[in-house]
Amino acid sequence: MSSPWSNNSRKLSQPVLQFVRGKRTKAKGALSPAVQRVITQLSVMSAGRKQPKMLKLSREDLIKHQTIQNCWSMYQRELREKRNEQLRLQYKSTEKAMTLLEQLDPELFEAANASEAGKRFPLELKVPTEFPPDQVWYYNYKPKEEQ
Amino acid sequence: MRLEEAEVFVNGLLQQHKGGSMTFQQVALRGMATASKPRAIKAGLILSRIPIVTQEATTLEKQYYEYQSELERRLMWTFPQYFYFRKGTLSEKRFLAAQRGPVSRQPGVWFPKGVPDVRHNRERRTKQEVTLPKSSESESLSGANNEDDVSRPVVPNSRITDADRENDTTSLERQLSSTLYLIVKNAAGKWAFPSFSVPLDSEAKKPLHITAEAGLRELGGPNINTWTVSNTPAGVLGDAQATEFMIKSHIVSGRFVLQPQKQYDAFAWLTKSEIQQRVEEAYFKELSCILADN
Amino acid sequence: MLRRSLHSSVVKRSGSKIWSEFTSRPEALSIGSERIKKCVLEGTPSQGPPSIKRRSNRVKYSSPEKIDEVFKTCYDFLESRSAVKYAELEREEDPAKRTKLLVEAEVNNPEVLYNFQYGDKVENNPRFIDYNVPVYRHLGRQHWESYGQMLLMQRLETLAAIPDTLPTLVPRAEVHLRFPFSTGLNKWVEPGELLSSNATTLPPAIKIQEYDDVDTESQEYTVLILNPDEPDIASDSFKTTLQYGLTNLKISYNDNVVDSRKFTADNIIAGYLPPVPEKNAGVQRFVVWVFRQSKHLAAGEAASARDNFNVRDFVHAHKLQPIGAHLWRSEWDSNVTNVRAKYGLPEGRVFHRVRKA
Repeated sequence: MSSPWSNNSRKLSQPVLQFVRGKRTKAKGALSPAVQRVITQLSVMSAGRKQPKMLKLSREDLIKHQTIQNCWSMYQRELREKRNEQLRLQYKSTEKAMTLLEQLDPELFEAANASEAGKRFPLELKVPTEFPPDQVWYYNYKPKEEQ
Repeated sequence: MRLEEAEVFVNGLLQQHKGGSMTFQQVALRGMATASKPRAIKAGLILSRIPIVTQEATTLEKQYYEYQSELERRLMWTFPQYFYFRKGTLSEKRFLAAQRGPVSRQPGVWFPKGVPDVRHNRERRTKQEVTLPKSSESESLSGANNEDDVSRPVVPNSRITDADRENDTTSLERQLSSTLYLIVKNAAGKWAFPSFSVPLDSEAKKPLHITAEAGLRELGGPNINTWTVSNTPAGVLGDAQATEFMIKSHIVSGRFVLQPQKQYDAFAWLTKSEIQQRVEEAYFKELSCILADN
Repeated sequence: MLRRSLHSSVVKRSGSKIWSEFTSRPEALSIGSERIKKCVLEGTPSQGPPSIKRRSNRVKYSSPEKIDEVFKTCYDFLESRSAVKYAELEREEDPAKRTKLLVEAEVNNPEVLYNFQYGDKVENNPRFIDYNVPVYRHLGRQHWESYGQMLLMQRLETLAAIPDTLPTLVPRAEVHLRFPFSTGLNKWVEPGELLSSNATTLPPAIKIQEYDDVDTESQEYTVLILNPDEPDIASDSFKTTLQYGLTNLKISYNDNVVDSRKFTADNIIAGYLPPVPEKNAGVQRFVVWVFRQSKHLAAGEAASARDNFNVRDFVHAHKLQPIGAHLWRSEWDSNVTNVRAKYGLPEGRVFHRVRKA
């Protein structure tokens, strides 16, 4: 049992915090800033308290999600098959051209079949981006002077 | 010319010279030289400009990507704000002020949508929206279009260019999202890919791709930078007079300016579907597999 | 370049609402509950998904964002592909290819997925999972192969039912086994389970689920239950006993539980002999084999001695094709005496570590 009076008196009796040079102000167990920094960095990568709640779908939503994924894989498969078919046709077309060239003109065939080792992809060709650059096309190309 | 026709033709030549002891090459050359009507060989050039911007996403793709990104945000870990903003700093204060904080749990309050489950200033049952505070400077200049301001809003260029609006088919800046091909109109008014005849005498004979590149420079001026994909022809076309081998090449930079001459009088940069409308049906059918759909 | 022409194709075919007409398609291809069907196809209502029973949980639930819009597009896409399959089906004559097309046309239908995923696959209600419909047989086979089939084969092999009874098994049909409820075991038995003698007192019901295309009108089946662990003192080994034999059974895709209602005395090769292992004879295996018959077996033709039963000769002689199996194990327990008394069997022997002369 403690009366309000005694509580007050205890509060009053507590010492007033005074700054003293060189005196430890933090508890003895406190971490040094370097250690604290390491802990912060590690806790960024750890899952503790940062993971969201598990996603639980209702039956209907699970079926919807599966349908969406099925649709997507079918769509991708169709694109893939279309591309493979075109590649097949292109290969056949090249093969046909080369067979014919071999029969018509063996010299040109040799030249067309020559090794192209060391041929590089030009650095000036750009990958398509979502929006065009300020200067869409570089027109002022001048071929290098041949020495 | 069809492949079978050519085979029959060459086999005939071979049989004519079967008696002599000649190599195949000699036979073929002699056959070319002595045949009453030598078949010309032409090098055709399929010069393309690759797409500059990406394809427009289809409805399905757009919606699917949105759905997936929403799922990903829902399953994302909480943004570790304490790592980026040190406790008690001004920047932390500014960051926190910009966030729409979650509703936290209160004793004695009924939450019909479920009791809030807040950790690290994030409602764990939903996605976390992280908004970055605007710098005071950019806020003050929000109206002005200050070129030096790094945080000015990004305004992308239009995917539709002037050439599209004017329907200028000679411009390289049209139809940025699809591959364009160079086709030319000959004196007879027929549209086709440019083709150049290969000289058959052994001194002037050059490989197909070199003939095609040189021909292109002659046709469109020297200031074109192209990259030929391969020495190997990608396709073949033929009629009674000539066999045309198609070489694929990309234009990298420069301008195609039709030089005044009598063979061709117009040119255009067209997509595959536009080419289909201009050229003959049989011609397109032969080449459609080596043209990109877009 | 990997690019697309979806937009036009979807718009072109969206007129054909192939998945929402049930004049030519069986009703099992639709979700039974009207509210759930509406929720799946037209979007979640504001009061939450109807499959959640408690109202407070329904209110708490929130669907993933944008799922309804993208589902609509995907549904149209898949439906248009299904319409192509149905158009192909009209021209197709070959029954195997027709089945394949029917499966491909419906396998992505969300209503079919819902029915199969949340329906009881063993005790199926033909309104929701109708194994007469090829797509449900396809899904059923997939489901079986994903777990049940592997479990069965593992149990058959580790318990050496293969090759102690038959050399091997190419599983074609799923076999389920359960004993009458009066024996206290109210469940489908997992292959290899150790059952008490009380549970196995009465003849089991055997469910033979076919996933192949078979002519259910004419196809007949034979079922044998064998015990390869009967001690044979004379040869210092074990012998095989036929515990139960049924033949000329006819089943359909949905009504396929073989119990006493399904056969008469003519179908019985050997009446049910319950497992009554003798004391200290160890654990005995009881292997159920299901065969497809190549011909009808005339009365008396299949009759054979129960003791020293040679299953390989039997299968060879009657040209039977093993398509499925099951097994359970039994051991002597204090109830065995009661079972023996009930069936009028002699008192069992008691084996000892040291054999008496």
